[in-house]
Amino acid sequence: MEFLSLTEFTHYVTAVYTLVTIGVLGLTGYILINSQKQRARLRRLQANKAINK
Amino acid sequence: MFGLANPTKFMRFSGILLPYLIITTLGLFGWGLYMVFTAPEDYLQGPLSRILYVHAPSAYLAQAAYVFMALANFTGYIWRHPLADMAAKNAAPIGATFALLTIITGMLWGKPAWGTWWVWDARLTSVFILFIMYLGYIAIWQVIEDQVKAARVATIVAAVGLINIPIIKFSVEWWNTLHQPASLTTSGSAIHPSMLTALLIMFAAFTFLFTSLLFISIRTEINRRRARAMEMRILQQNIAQTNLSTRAAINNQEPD
Amino acid sequence: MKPLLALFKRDISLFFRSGGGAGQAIGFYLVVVILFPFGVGPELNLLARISIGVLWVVLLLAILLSAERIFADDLEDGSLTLLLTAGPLPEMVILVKLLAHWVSIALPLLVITPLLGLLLNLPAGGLWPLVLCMFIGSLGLCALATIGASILVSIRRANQIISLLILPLYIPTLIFGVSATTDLTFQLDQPYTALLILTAISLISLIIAPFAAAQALKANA
Repeated sequence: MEFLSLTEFTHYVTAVYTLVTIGVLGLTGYILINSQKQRARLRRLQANKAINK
Repeated sequence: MFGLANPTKFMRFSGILLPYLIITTLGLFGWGLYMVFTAPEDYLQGPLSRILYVHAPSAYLAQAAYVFMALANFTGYIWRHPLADMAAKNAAPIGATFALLTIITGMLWGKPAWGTWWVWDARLTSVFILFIMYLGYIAIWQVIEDQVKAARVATIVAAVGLINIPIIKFSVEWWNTLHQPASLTTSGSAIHPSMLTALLIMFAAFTFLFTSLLFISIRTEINRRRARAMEMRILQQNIAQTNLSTRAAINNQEPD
Repeated sequence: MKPLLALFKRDISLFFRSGGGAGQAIGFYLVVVILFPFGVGPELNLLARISIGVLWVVLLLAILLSAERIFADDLEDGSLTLLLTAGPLPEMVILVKLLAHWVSIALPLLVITPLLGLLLNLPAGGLWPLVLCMFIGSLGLCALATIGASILVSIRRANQIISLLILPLYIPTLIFGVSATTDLTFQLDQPYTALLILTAISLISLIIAPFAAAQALKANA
């Protein structure tokens, strides 16, 4: 096994933290967007119901 | 605990708790990351040891989420607890994401440490299989439309998976030692106390992240079901009204 | 006992009389095994090295890809509901269907394994260990396939999802099946350890499968 230099090691560490950040933020974003969508849908329905009454 | 079976109670309870959960998660991540980048580096691996702080918690979360998911499914199956089913359903994508992150960080660690992106190492292989099991579980919820039925079927999938996880781990380790010697062990280097603290904080941060995301997902699921129920009611009213007006129209025509 | 025996005979004759019969299973094995030398090259040493693994994978695929058939036809014509509600315990009915599927799919492969072994240059003395281990392993594989089939019984064209679902469960059998065959063929230190574990995995699968499948069919009903 050839030994890599310290800077190359740092690149891998940066890549890991970047990818984990993207993964976590992506999942969080997906969950939050879904949450907003359903809340908006429910609110719209409730508003319609109030008008119809 | 059982009071939470009521979705309205859960919405109220989780609405109060959620801001605190999110603040705790963010605080733990800030503290943990600060500790990670000030902790001393491992003598052997240098900067690479910093990968451990996200790799290990992801791996733990990927496995813990599966166990949680199966337990939630059991609760739903035995006590007909709809919230438990929702918890199981929504834990799966989170667990799958962390299984994937474990694989990716493992590969990025393997390249500089072992000299190759992928080795069929026992642990990497087990996590890979766990990821496939998550995909199968998520597929069940997507292909079976009736959610009550899907929950019951998903319980069987989770239960069979849970029984098999130890068997799979054992066999993969057997197979691995049969085909190749252990690639690299870091057990020689003892963990420095400040590294351990940083690692424990990261474990806590990931656990709180999972809990927050799960709470938000379950709230979304409850809202979705409520909206769906309202839409169905409106649809039924519309149909009833249309029926009435058609009948009226037919009655009006009759004198001809 | 008598109704179960009748069901066993019915399932086997239904399988062999619809769509090509035993020829279909054997044809599948032949095609896959013949394709391998073209893929990896005709070198006999290489073929001898991979032959045991290839034959195991082919067996596994055959069982995986035919899993859907265990319940699909019976569900379509309504006989599945009858079988599960009238007469013997549902678990027993499922066990019988599982064994019938094993006879239809796995047994043909065991029968033509000598020929396939010749084609792949199977190591000398490897035939009997292979047939024995496949005999034991395939029972477990069929049991797991039954669980997959019962879980997705109400979904049309579910084969790919069944594969995804069952694949992780097949890995232990594959590992210990290949390992037991190799140990017995080359008479390594403790040739029976892997075989015993393989038998244990198959027996556990055979015990769990009828109960899990009965629950799944009930949930799907």
